[in-house]
Amino acid sequence: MLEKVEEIFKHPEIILQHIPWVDIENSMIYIGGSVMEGFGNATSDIDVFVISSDDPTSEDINLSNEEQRFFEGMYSLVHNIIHEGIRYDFTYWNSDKVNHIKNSINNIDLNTDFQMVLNKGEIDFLHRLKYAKSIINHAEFSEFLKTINFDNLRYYIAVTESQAFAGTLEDLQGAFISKDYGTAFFRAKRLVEITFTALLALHGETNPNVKWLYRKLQRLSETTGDFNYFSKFMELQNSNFDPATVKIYIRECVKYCQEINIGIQEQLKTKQEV
Amino acid sequence: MTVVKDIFVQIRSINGKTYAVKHNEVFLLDGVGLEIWQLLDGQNTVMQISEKIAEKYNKSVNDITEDVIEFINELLEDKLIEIE
Repeated sequence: MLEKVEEIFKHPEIILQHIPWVDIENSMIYIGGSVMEGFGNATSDIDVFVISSDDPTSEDINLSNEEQRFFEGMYSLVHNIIHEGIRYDFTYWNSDKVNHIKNSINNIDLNTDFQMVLNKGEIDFLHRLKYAKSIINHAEFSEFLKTINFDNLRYYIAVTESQAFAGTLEDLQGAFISKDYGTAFFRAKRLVEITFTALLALHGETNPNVKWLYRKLQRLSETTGDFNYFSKFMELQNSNFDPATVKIYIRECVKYCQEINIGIQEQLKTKQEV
Repeated sequence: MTVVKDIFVQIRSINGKTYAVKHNEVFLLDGVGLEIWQLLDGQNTVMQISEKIAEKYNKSVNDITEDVIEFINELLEDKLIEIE
């Protein structure tokens, strides 16, 4: 798959031929997603992003004869094609919308228990930009990336996950006190996921998709040479429900997550004080 | 005597300040307060906590033990910690 991507950078027309309706000169077109981040596998598709001032219409896209699907995604327009056995996902973002997202993350106020100003799709969009590589207009794209405060994305995710931590902990406590240990058990596992997502975000691992949690943790461990977090995560996630030990397991999960959370909150406090 | 945290009390940083949050109740922790909080792990006795704080701030244990005990008593009253 990586070879195919490399070929695209050498020959952008491989991509451009599929989007004749795009004003190439005035657009930013880049490859992002799991393949670029190093998480790709044999079945990964290639994510192509188009940022332009004009959104394509379904009529535009139906001009093409290739096998394809077009739909309005939850957050943006999406157009899929399969070409020579490889699936390409084209995602179209309007320039105005992109500027709005950029301004939101650049001006985020980390001091308070804020209302979420970015939705999941927008966070994913920003994260993918971190690993993006343009196929045209390279200088313009490079300048554009410099205008985004990706550091704020780390903290934003940590704060939003802290809010999720509070809600999950409350649910867990309610279930635990009520002796609903089955619910508490699964809430404890979720608390572990949330805690590690926040921790990893502060270490720069901002991919918001929970399916990559393991890979993010693996990469952090390999980068730092410290496998303590990795080992503990695997230990907590590998536990099965056992009525005889479930209370011990839940307490262990909560205690561990709380200790990690203190470190997270100290980092947030330092950032807030700046 | 050892004391442990209520495992359901969450630490949150908001507006540059650190709080212990239990249900809908919020308790402000200053820098030393957070350090004592972290030492309340069921391993350290109150005296050991005093010794560690005294060492960190280069004070005599006698000077700060009373303050540490007072703070721990406040946490006990607020049911943020419990005696083991």
